[in-house]
Parts: sequence; C-alpha cells; structure tokens
Amino acid sequence: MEKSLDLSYLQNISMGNKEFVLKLLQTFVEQTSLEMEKIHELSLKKDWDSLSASAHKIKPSFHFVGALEMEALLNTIEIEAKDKSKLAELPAHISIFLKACKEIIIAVKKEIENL
Amino acid sequence: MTQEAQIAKKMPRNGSAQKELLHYSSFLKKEKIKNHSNASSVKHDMLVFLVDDDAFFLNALYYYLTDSLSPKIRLKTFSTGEECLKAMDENPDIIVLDYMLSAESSKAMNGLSYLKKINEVSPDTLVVMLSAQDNVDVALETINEGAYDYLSKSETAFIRLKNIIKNITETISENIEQEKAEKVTNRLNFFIILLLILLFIIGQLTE
Repeated sequence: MEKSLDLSYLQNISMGNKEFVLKLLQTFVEQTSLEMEKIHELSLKKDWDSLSASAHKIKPSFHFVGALEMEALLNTIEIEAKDKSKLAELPAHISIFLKACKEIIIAVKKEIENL
Repeated sequence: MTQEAQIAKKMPRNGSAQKELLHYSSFLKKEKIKNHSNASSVKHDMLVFLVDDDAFFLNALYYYLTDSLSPKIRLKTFSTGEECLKAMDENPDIIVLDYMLSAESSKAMNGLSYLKKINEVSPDTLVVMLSAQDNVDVALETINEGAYDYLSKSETAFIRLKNIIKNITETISENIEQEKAEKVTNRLNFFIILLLILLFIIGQLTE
C-alpha cells in the first residue's frame, strides 16, 4: 500500500498558518495512535460493531493528511465490520491497516520535525 | 403537532415534489432564523458549540473557524453529546453536531438523539449536522428531525460550514436591526399621531 502523505489540503485550510498545521498534525499522531490500539484490541475481541464505529471515526483524519488509500481501506473495514458479510477478509485488512498506520504516523512525525 | 409540521402547514405549495422539498427546506431555514432572531434579540455576541468525538476533526474545525470567523463569534468544543447538553444553559446560537457520535458511556446517544434532545431543551438553537457519510436519506432524516442543515465531512465541509455560520449570523443581525428600525418607526408614528391629535384639540379650543 502507498503510504505517501499530501498535506496540501491541510495547508490550504490553514491559510498558511504553520501553528495550525503543527497542532493538527500533533492531534493526528495522538488520536491515530490511540485509535490504532483500540482497533487492534477490538479485532482481538471480535467486537465488530465497535470496530466499525472506530474505523468510521478516524476515517476523515486520513483524508486531511492526504492518505487517501488509508481512508479507502478504513471505509472497507468499516463496511465489512458493520455488515459482517466478509468477516473472513477483515483480519487481513485490519493487519494491512495497522502496519500502514504505523508508517503514516512515522511520516507525520517527520513532517512535524520539518515544520 | 411539531414545530416543523406547523411550519409545513403554513408553507405555500409550488409544484413538483423535489421543488417542494427544496422550498420546504429553505422555508424552514428562514422560519428558524426568524424564530432565533426573536429569541436572541438581546444578545450581542454569537455562541457556537462544536460537538464531535473525533479530536482531530474537532480541533481542525475549531482552528479553522477561529481563524476565519469574526471574533464576535465565540466557539466552544465538546467531545461528547452529554457535555454539550450540560452546557445548554449557556444558550448557544448554533450547534455543529456530529451525526455519528460513538457511545463512550452507557447513557450516550447518537447524534440524531442529541438533535432531538437539543430541540426539546432549546428549540431556537440552530443545529447543523455533520456526517462522514454523504447520504441523502440521512440528510433528509436530520432535516425532518429539525436540523437547520446537513453537511458531509468532505473537502468542502469547512468552507461550507464557515459560510453557513456567516450567513446565519448576518441574517440574525439584519433581522435584529430590522426589528429595531420597526420599533423606532412605530414610536415615531405614535408621536406623529399624538401631535396631530394635540393640534386638532388646540385648533378646536382656539375656535
């Protein structure tokens, strides 16, 4: 999966305010780390409804940092967990998400350092 | 009968179902702002509550609106619907409410249930619903339940929300100014009539 970031949307809505971008990227790292942990725990518990809600909740933040493939993957996870129609494929998707998410967080931390 | 149903009954009809729906929605908005202006005519600054359990989106929205709206518009953030309900005695003018608030406690409700609760507690507060899904049925459901507007959390959500808040505040200010002007005109008319009566009486006495 492509883990590249595109902060142009975030920079656009921040209207050039670096502090704004910095605060949001810090919030992204904190929030995403927590939700990542939560999604992992919920998948072990097989609590698919809560997992679907968690995926739904963090989906927009990936859009903000331009990680659109992650947003699409979270959408798939959200639907699969909610409908429980493709539960056999769900653990593999969650595993891809968790691995890619760690890399995204590292990339965002690098962006924070460069700001 | 709900407030919406009463308004819908007053609403003039004008053709196709879609046209009627759009007309209904726009009619409701005007009525809601009119009611709100009457209720908040003594207030000067506007208070906007932002309610979302997604800390990233909530912060992004807060920073963006703080930068782009007038300093006269105060913003307060809440990560749960329960916190928002507890603060309703502050009389917010507008509430931006997430449609899918997760249940952190057993007493927690989803955004739609909070919308109903807010309408019960403060029917004049204008509620804008936000959702991560762009779903017409959800939009219609929220409007029918009394939301002022519905927005999906798309790329244009921030700009659209800023414009909605600006439009509401400008319309409320205009309504309040218009109300003040009407009061002045009414007083002036009263004094003119009084003066004419006095002149008439003086005329009668001097004859």
